[in-house]
Amino acid sequence: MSKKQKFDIARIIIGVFTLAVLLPLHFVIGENKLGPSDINTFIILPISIIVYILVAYDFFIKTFKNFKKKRFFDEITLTLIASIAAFCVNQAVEALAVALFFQIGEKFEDYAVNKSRKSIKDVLDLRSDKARIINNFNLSNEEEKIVDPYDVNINDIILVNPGERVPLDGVVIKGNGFIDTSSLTGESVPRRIKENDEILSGVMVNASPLYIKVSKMFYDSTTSKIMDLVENATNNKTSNEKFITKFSKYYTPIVVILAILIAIITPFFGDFTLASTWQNSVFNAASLLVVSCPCALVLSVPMAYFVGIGEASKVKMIIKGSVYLEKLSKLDTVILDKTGTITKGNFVVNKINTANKDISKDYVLALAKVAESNSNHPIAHSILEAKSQMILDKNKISNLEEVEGKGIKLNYDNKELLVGNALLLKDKNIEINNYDPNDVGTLIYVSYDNKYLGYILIKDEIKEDSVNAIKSFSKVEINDTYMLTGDNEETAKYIASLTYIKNYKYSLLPLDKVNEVKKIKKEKGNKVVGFVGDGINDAPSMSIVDLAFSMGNIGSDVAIEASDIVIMDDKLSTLVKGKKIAKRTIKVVYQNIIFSLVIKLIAIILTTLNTITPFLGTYIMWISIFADVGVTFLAVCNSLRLMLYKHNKI
Amino acid sequence: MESIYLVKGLDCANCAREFEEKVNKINGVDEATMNFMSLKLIVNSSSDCTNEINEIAKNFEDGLVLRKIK
Repeated sequence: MSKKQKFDIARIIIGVFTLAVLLPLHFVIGENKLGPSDINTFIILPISIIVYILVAYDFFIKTFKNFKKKRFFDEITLTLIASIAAFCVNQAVEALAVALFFQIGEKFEDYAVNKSRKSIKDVLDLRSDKARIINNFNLSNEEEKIVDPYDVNINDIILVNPGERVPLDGVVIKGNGFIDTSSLTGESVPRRIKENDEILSGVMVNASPLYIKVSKMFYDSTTSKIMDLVENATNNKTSNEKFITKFSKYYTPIVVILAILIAIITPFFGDFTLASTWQNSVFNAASLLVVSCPCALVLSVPMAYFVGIGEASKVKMIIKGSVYLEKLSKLDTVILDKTGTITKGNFVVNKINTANKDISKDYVLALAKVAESNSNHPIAHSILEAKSQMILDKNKISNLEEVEGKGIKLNYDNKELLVGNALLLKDKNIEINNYDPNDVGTLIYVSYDNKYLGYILIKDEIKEDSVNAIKSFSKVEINDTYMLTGDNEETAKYIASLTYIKNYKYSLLPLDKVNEVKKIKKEKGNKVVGFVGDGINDAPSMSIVDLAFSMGNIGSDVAIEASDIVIMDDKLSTLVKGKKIAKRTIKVVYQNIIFSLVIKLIAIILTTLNTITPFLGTYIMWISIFADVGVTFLAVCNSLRLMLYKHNKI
Repeated sequence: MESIYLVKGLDCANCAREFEEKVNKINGVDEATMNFMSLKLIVNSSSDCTNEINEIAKNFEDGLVLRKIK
């Protein structure tokens, strides 16, 4: 704590104690004149003035500066005027209370703002503050130097030791081991990393040191981008924020003018020759000035959005701005891309079905593997990844030919080997038998020496959480879910039935997808329609919908650019959690707006009435203090409350 | 063009709003948004208004410092 902070707290404590002593004196002895009549003049007034100066001396300095800068509607200036007015009409305790509570309010606001800022920074700021650069890499005069990551250039070599965070994006050029990507993806299983693998900044190096060739400048690196996303991605304000900006613009001047009118004009409606008439009007005007700051609204509402976005980032959902948070809270219809969204997008050999019992599954797989050994297609990749006992000699391959859209034809050991879809075998009049109708997915048939051997079923696995997540969509008022896919009917049907999606469209070419999205959007009218995809292939669809989610491509600029919300952990359940957070946030926003407005309005009305007939007397000032500091306190607490929820369940 | 400034030294949320209002009045500024929570001022303008914005900051509050970050 700095000296200034200690001093501020000390004077607030002194102020509170003084007030605690003076209040009973003021109300019991002073007001009801039970004690000596001059207790006010000789005890309350001097003590109040001394403590007031201690508490509020900086108001004078600030107001003086404000006047020089022609700022008359500043809250400190208005508070100062209100408290001096209260002194003038011999209400010293109220004057002290106005200044004291204002200071307490300020301190609390500072605390709350810092707390919410820190909370978002803790989760999101994965940026490192140093990088270990290696000069003359792999040469005899190799040397290590610690630098500011901003000073690292592309193609520089950096070293990251176990237990450290990778400071910049790059490619591993030496070393291998495990990295922990949980800070980015929420996935806590360590991932293997080897030479030539890309590595993103923000991940933790686990086992052994890695030498990385930097591929992006620090401000372009993934960690900086994630931080940027939340902080600067959009300057669009929500309609609520716009309303508050507009309201605040007029609110303070209107209340100040009303206060002046009350102070000057109202006495003429009563007996303006009496000092008490003037005292009453000035006191009411002063208490009106106390409610002249729209602080409760101006602070608590942006804070709620800020905290909401911060909470969403805790569940690995990065929302690019308050506008999208608000849209998310109203999300009605979700269009899901199948591959990579509902499913993992990595194809895996699910089953091998042989033509008869005498043929070994391992043999079929081994043949397919040798045929696909030089292919790059994701399907081929899945076959190559599958484990087989038998390994066939690649040197026995001859006349390898890729048949467009059908598969691969080659000679193995001088006998013809066919690996591909049904059409490939049909061309050679090879009959497929023993087909199991339950096998839905991509089927790769294998035939050798003109004999059908069997097929390999390749499936894209459904993500572990997809089924549960889609089931809980209705719980968070996502009323309609669509699935779009370029895959065949069987696969689409299969995935849809597992995930309880009723609306699905299959065999869609990229352009068909866009048209489908347009159709759904039109059908839904004003309801908020969202699209969830990988952000790269789906960019055209994403530009049509109200809310675009991308997942699976954290490092990609295109994906981040195309989407409004990035789901870093690639899970649909995050969508459910995010919508809950958004709904809760918007609820707090409305509560704060309505609560603040109603209380301020009541305070203004009561003050006006109190001017006409002083039925509340000097108590009006306490109402005003509550309507100002009290309401701000409650509204800000309401916004901070958003931090208290746990988000692990969907 | 869009510029982003890191703003240090703003006292309160309402001051941030007032500051935003003033920046919005600069000739050439289409839209300025001051986010008090992230302390960033985002300005959409036809030309670079950094000098004008700095001038406003100087006359608005002592110790108000702007750093252009984009």
